Amino acid sequence: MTAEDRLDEALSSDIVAFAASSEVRALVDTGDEIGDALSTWSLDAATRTRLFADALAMTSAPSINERLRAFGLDRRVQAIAGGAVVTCAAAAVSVAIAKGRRHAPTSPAALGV
Amino acid sequence: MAHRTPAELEAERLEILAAQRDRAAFAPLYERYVDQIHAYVYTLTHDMEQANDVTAATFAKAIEELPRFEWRGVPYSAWLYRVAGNLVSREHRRPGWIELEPRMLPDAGADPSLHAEANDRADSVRAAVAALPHDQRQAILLRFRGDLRNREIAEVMGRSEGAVKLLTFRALTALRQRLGAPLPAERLSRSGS
Repeated sequence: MTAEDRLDEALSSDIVAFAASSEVRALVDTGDEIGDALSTWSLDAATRTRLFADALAMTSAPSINERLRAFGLDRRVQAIAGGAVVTCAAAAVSVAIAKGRRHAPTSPAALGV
Repeated sequence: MAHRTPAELEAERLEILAAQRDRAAFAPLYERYVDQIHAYVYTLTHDMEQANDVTAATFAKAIEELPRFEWRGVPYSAWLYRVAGNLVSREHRRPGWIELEPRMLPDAGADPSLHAEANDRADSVRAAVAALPHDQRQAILLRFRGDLRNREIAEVMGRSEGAVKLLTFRALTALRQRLGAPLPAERLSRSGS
């Protein structure tokens, strides 16, 4: 087992650390001290809030749908799109009917038979 | 140092699920990790403005990626650390990067007269960590501030678990030589820490 393996085991288990050599225990103590020193790092409430606001601002580049929704345009766009679909459908039906009339055989009733 | 228990990890998984359904539920995750990420970035960069920018950018990416985030049974912080580390590397490659001398945040609310010795010692410890080579610094921060396991640290750093153990060993050996033994507990308790 290497020195770094022995240290790793001691860092992961208090029991192993207790039974470890003085050199390894010294490194574990240093590790504990580092953990304590680093854990005292904390941002004040104003900075936390500001950084969160900054993060949200970075994410707020809106998608096209969000932009439309923001301006209340999404319903209008939907209405326009819906109207366009209806218009196209009506045009298609009209063309179909017109073609049908041109090619349909004349009924006997129309000929007065 | 306490690694996350399975119950804590499960609680975090549920928090992320909640945040995926409702972005407002992301706030507890932000509150839990913002100090860690900020300390990590600051200790890597030695620059408060960069630390603020990179921290905000890390959480912006976290929010953006939230719908696509897939739980993999490791602390959410492992993913945040990786994002922050990548952003630092990207910033570092930019021209004009200036690395300032380490300066540490004041301990808000502390009475300098009562905490002077312990605070001086903590400052020395943080400065010694900040002076480590980049990869040793990263390994130490992820282990002792991020409470990550070796395999999680290895993933964040893009190294093997063996390499992480070696970096930790070398860093602690260097820090012990530089700092000596920690302050005795009775002196820390007398100074109010």
